[in-house]
Amino acid sequence: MNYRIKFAKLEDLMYISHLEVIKTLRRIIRRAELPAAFSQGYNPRINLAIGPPLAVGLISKGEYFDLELEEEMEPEKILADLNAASPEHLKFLKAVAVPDDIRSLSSLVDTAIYTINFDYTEAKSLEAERKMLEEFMNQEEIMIIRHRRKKSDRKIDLKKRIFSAEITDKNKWKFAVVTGSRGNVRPEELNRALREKYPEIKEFSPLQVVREGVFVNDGEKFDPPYAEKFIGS
Amino acid sequence: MQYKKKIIENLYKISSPERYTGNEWNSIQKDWQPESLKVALAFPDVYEIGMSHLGLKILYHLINREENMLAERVYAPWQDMEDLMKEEEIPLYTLESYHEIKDFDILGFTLQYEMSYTNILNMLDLSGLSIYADERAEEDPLVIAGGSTVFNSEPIAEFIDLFFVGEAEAFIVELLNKYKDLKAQGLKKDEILKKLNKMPGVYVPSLYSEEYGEQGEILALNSAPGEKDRVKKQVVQNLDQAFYPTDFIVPYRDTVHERVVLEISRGCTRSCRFCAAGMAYRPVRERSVERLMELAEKALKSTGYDEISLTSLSTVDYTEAKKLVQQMTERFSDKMISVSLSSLRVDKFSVELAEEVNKVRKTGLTFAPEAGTQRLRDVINKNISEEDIYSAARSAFENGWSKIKLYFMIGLPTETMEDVKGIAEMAQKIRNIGQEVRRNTKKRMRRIEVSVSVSTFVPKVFTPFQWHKMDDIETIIKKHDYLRDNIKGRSFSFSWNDPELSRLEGVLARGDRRLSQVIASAWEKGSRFEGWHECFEPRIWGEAFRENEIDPENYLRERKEDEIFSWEKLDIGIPKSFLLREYKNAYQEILIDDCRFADCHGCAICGNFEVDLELVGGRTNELQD
Repeated sequence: MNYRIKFAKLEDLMYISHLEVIKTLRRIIRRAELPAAFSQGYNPRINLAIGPPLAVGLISKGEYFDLELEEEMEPEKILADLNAASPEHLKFLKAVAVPDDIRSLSSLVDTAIYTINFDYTEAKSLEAERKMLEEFMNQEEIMIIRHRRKKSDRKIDLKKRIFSAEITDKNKWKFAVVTGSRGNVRPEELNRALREKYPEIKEFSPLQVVREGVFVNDGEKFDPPYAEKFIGS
Repeated sequence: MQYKKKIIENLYKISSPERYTGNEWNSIQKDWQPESLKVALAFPDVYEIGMSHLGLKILYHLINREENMLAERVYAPWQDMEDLMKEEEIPLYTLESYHEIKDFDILGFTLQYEMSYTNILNMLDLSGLSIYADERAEEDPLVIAGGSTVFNSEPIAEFIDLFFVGEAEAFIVELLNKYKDLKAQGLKKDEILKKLNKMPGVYVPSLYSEEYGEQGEILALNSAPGEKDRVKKQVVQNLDQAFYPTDFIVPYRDTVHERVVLEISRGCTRSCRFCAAGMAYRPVRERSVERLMELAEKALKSTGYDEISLTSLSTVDYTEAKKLVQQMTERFSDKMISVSLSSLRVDKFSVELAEEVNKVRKTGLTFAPEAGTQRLRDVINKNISEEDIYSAARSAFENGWSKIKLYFMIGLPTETMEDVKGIAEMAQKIRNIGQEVRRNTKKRMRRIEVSVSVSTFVPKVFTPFQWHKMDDIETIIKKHDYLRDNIKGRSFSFSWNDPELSRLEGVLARGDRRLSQVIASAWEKGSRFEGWHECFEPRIWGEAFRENEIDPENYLRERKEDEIFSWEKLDIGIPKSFLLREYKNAYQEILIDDCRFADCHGCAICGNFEVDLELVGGRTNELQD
């Protein structure tokens, strides 16, 4: 039986890398004594498939993984068992039974939504912020230099990678950007691009960013990867 | 003060930030009650090394069990973190509460290798403390230390207020309670230290001094009036009843040993003459199979690890090794939990045991013949024959292992180039055996790989070889060159230690109190993490020795039979006469066997600690019957 499980990775664990999260999930599943299915082969491991990576240093309220269990379990029970065996800042939020042939998270998920809390050198009205965002998004292209570990820097256009942007509240900017196999945008890059245009924005701090979650973009709206249309009936 | 927000906000600027954030599963966050005794347990190397250390795990859980105490962890920051801390004015802090070290009553270091001494100074400095014990203020934490290199702690004696000699779990809680009482009575630090020095196993270096002669030799070891002459190490009497944690902290970051570690026994009486642990950790004590099974069960449940590692100084010598391994694999294999063994001897019993746990996955097998010829193995009392080695290798290859790792030492007493040649010949012969087995087997087998790792012998205190002269640089290089030229080809790999680093280790390993100044100079000049090859700068140390007018050669030379050693302030329970007799036996190639399974050789440890040699399987080893 397969389950798609949603979890949050909060402040205390923000510096844990993607691979470390996977390792930690496997250990939590063992501690929770869930009847997990193991992979075949010389080095059997708990069968677990995680969604697109979350960058080191970011908090997220909506990450996912798929887990195969040998027996059927109530989703509520799965969540309770996992949470009891998990550090406080790794929280399991939702478990949904899914069919065997459901599209994998890595092929489905294409959007990440970030909320960035901006600090300015001088106070700004909501109006002024809205105007800033409008100007920013109306540029033909938003070029930025991407620094890559152990590779040369590369110029990329953020404009093509931002699906939508809005200001939800004072100082709160919300961006839906591409993630997964079709590319990605780092919140630090959004901050940098904005600062180049508006130097009054203060320097980036990872504590100002929250990944609201990952989603599937259907052109009109962003669906969670457990939406009815992916599960079938 | 706590600096959590400032730390979290800045960590994205450095490599491996998860070294510095804590919050791991099973880490213990106790309330900071004003009356509780607060202990910061420090490991003077990076997180992933320190997190693998068993001794500190035991102490962490042992202290935290006490209602009126709390223990938190701190590791040495890597260079980028040190820079960040200095730039942002963040003092050294613990991973549990993010409290700065100055908020603690006690800062306790574990001493595991000489090459971490400058990190101790750096950690003191980053805590805002003076590195010198006599310059620290009354309200500063008491700086204590213990662990395996405590047996020669003189080179750092000026930095530490109090050493604990021996197995701390036997005694630490009593020591801490005593400290708490004395502190509550309003006594000053020097008065408290004097009172603590009355306790067994406690060594307060400021109450002791050394007198030097014109040639730099030690004329006398002095203790302050009314203080004991020698400090006797403390041991746990019964390992089965001793505290052992099962709620191990589970790190997020990859660390050296990510598994349940079970210590099956302590001490070893094989009497290899070069081995510090073999002398220092006597007597031999074993945990029962029942207790180990219970610990394994609990620890697996608590941690979620998928591997159990059985550790000891020599796994096959555990008298119920086979029974234990069988029970473990039987109980846990359906949960996909593997069992691994450390410290295997070179014999076919070891291969059988390894076969038992490695039915599926065969990675590599490590053997330590230590020396290349039978003559030299007899000198060091290794007690294994050529026949043992080759039959173990053959049996390993026949059981499907294709990779064998061999450990040797160069610079052992009486070694000639013939013995060095013997290393290369043995490696070649083992490779040939492997290739022959591979040619004749019907099973699929990977290409044979033999890796040879050669370290330079460093004479250690309280061993029969504590008198021995260490090889000079030219000799070490000549031996390395020979081996590099003669162990080459597709099926071999050859690794060795930096000769300069080995020599420095040699100086510190048999050093005295005068070296404190040298270590302080090297640290001031920026030396850190010497154990990490890329961080070691011999030039800095050369300058540090010159500026303090200390000749390192003086510490590496052959010692006189009746010489007074700096480390003789401590008593490990084995008389010097026994060690000297063994040193002489070495030159005559006289072997002594393991007193667990043969006669007593008079090391006197059992009498000194009033213990009987108690073995869970009786005084025979089932594997070797």
